[in-house]
Amino acid sequence: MAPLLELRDFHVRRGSTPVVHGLSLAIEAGEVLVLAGRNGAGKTSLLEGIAGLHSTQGELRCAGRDLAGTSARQRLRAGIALCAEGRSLFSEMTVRDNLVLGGYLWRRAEAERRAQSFMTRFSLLAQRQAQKAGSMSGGEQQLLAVCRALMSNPRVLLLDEPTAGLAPRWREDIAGLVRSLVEPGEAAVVLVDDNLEFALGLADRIVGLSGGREAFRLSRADRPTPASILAGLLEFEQRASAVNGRVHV
Amino acid sequence: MSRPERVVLGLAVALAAVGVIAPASFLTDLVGAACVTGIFVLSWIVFCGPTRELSFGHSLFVGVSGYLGGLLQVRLAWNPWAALLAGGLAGAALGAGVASLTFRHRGLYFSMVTMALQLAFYRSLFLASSWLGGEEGIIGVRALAGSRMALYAISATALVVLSVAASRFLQSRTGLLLGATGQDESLARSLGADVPRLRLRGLALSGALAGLGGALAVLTQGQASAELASDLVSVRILLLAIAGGLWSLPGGLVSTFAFQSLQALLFGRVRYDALIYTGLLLGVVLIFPRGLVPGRPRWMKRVLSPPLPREGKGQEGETRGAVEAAAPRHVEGLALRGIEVRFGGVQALAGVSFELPRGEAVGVIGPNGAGKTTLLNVIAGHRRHDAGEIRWGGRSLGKLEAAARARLGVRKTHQQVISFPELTLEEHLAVARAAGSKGFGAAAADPELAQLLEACGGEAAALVPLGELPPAAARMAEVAMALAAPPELLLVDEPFAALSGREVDAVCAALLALQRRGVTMIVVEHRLHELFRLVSEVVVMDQGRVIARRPPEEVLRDPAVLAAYGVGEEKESA
Amino acid sequence: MISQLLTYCTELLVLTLARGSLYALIAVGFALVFGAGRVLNLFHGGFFLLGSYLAFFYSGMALPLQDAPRMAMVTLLAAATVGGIGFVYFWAFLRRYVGRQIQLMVVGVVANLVTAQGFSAWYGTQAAYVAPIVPGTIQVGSAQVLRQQILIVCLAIVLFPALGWLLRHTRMGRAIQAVAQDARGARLVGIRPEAVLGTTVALAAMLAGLAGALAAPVLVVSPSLWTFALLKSFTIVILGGIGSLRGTLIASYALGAVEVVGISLVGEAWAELIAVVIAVVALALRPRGVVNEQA
Repeated sequence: MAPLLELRDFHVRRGSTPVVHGLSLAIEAGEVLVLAGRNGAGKTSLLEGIAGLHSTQGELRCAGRDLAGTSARQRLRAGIALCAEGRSLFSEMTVRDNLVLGGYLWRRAEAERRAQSFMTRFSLLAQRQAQKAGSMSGGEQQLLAVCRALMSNPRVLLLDEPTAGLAPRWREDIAGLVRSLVEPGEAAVVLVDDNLEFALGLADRIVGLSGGREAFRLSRADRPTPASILAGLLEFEQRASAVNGRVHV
Repeated sequence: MSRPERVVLGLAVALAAVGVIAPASFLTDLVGAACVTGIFVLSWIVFCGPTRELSFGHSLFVGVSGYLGGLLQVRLAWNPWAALLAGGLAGAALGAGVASLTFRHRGLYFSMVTMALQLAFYRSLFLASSWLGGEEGIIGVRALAGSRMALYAISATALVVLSVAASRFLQSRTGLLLGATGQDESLARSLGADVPRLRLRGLALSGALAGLGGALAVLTQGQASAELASDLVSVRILLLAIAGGLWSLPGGLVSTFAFQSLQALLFGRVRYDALIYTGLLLGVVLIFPRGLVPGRPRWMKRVLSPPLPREGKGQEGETRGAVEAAAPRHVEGLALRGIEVRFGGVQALAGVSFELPRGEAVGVIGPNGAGKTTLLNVIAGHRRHDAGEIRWGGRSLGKLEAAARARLGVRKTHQQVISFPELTLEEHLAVARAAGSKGFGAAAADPELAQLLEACGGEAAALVPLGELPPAAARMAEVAMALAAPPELLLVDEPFAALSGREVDAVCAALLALQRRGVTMIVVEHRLHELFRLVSEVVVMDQGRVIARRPPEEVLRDPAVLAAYGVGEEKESA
Repeated sequence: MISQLLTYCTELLVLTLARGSLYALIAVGFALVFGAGRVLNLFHGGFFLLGSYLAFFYSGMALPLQDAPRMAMVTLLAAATVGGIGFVYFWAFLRRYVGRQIQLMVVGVVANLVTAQGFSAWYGTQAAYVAPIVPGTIQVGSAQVLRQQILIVCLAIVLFPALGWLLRHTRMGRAIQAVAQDARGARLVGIRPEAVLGTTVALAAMLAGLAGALAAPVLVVSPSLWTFALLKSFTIVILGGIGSLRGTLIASYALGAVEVVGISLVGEAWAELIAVVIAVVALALRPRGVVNEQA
């Protein structure tokens, strides 16, 4: 069976700066892939590139469909949704409006119905539904942002730093959402999170990134720990800097 | 002689030649008028060039000064030269006034405000027509001189003299810093640049030039017409300046003479000559977005920066060297008491207190979201704190903004890559020195500086705009700026992020050299191995609090620290 | 004494409402476009000018209606035409320069100059007379107010709540708001900011055209009228910010009030200039951080 999301020799540019250089990945339905790496390794750029926010080169397929060169809207239609770093909520709109707008590509009644189902699931969102999104706490906003991304009923959810700055209780809610999305075996999640404990708890596979390139791969069978991830990155960086050294001379 | 000055010399020779070849002719009238337009364009470039603002209202200065000069001459029978001078002064005052009005307006808002003021003044001219003569304006102004040739000589001389003045300004300390603020205002502020004051000076000069030009136009033509203050003049000034080479002084002069000759050719021969002229200018601006004479404005080059250090080999600063007694140790160091910061519903800092004596270096570590960067931002003045007190050298910093703290010697490097993208590394160092960060001991041609520049790509890279170099170079440039103009307290936020081996060594050596010179330092860094080379103590933060303070070798054995990191294992990767 | 004061206040109020309603009609579209794409559409003044001249042009055409219905028809036709021009202007020119501020603004202002020159070549710089929909004046205190101005006030009372409803409840209205609040977020939920901006520009053009056609009998229609519309739009956006319809409306009526009071104190000539300066100072004093490094 073809993988759900497939990248081949995938490049991302931010403005005129190349930030991801020729990455190849295949993600199966039902799995959580974690991208690990330091600040500036290209994780966020990769997710935004997949979602269609930056110009990209190379092959991108979702469920067998070729998405190279398509717009963010077309990728959302194809089932790729990004919950972006910094959340990008509509801060002057109500919680309810934010959710409903998450289903912008659906018919209004359907979007309302789905929004209602999220509010039934998280009573907090129902309590806050008439409040402006910008007036909520960081954790509440993050929960809303993840739910908004899920409103489009994606097959691939790209989650960027969902737990940044959150108290532990929120991590459980977000982890629960991720698990319930992948468990039926229909959808997949690509997760970037600085909190490795949290990320490793969900990960089926881990791909390390360094300088916009793949540094290593680990699967659940490797029993990854923060230390082994660090070791993987260090080893890659040493090899890379050895090569760089030669180039400089 | 710099390039702008060579251009001005060439211009002077050409203008004199015109005067000799065809004295008192159609040609001198034409070139004389072009000279006045050239002064308008100069005045635009002097402010909008460095700051990258788009003023849509320069005809306000031209019009106000022109009318004032005309009125003074006609109504009060002033000497025309006194009226000219008054026009210049009025332009300067108006420029200073507009700068104070717009001290918070940048970009689109600045464009809008300048255009709004100009439009309002222009419309008022018509409404106050009993007083200002409406469309006709003020007529019967006595000219500066009787003969055509003398008027030509005055206009040409004025253009040459004012070009030199403009070019000198752009190469001065103020011009350089104004240029830096136009590239990245927050970086310039964090270096200590007093942005409102710089803009005030720049706009006052710009207004003075435009005012002199406006008064000159009235006092050579013998009348002040409303057209002088019109939006058409504003737009022409802007288009000529942009068409000339996007904020380049010589380019502006070239395009002025080219298009003014064109206008003279068109005038009276074709219908809609004004439309064709404006359309052609627009075409140039749209088709050549970088102008007719493209190229980076070079005026900032080699202004204040001494030549780069070319000699000397980098020292291997492997461990923290002994602090040389450069720091005035009797002066109080940094003292934080109960610092609290909240944003949204999150308590980012929940009562942080610690002290740091002068000349010491401390590292700050902690899980993500612990509040490390927020702490540095609060000390540097980039973020307000909600409660608590910050003192440096016995002085409370709480009320001061970032630039003022930088002038007191408290500086922070940025976590994200940030630079003046169109300036070279050399110019970055010049800006750092010019911004006047207080510090002790002027920077010499350090071996560490040489090592840093070498890591950036060496001499060749030093002459390339930083925006064209990889992000690592910009990160190293921030450290290099600290070396070039050492602060007293340096707050370093993740200096090694996205750097590779050799670059890390160079940054390490530079930071150690600063410490040897007595700079007090707080370093936030995830890479513990490198961090421990730099600091004598490590402060551990978690959830907005300080939970431990230990020497590097002990810190990872502290149970509280391990608990904060969750698994009893240091989590280095981020 | 008290009755005199009361009359004076009523007079000020009516004059303020008359001015403010027209200004709001002009500036709302400008503010919407500025919000939706951080696009400073300087051709907005041209939209207003087009509205006025098209009303003049259409009122000279043979229409099967007479008097009030005829002029209402002319007004609506002018507004619709300007809306169409705005749509074409966006897709033909403006779209290319979104994100390139210099070109964007230069194109806008040159488009104004060209339009103005075009009309002065066609009709000359003398004032063009357009008949009002409702002729005549009413007396408020010592002031004469045109019935057409009262019509504009009434229209504003109906139009702005309706516009607010559209922005809150229709798909396109919500998309406009979404793009204004977070353009990246809008792209993430499947909104195409460019299409939204195009529609916003067309809507803004239609409103400005409507304002121009309605104001044609009130003002002196001449080619320099675009400066009037642009100046009011600037002042209102500077004063009211770009956040909300409400801010724009408040700023519009505030500007009207400042001008009415200013005119009674210093006269017509300098009231406008003073109003601009007040708006600029108000924005400068509004406490707002200038340099904020996000942690």
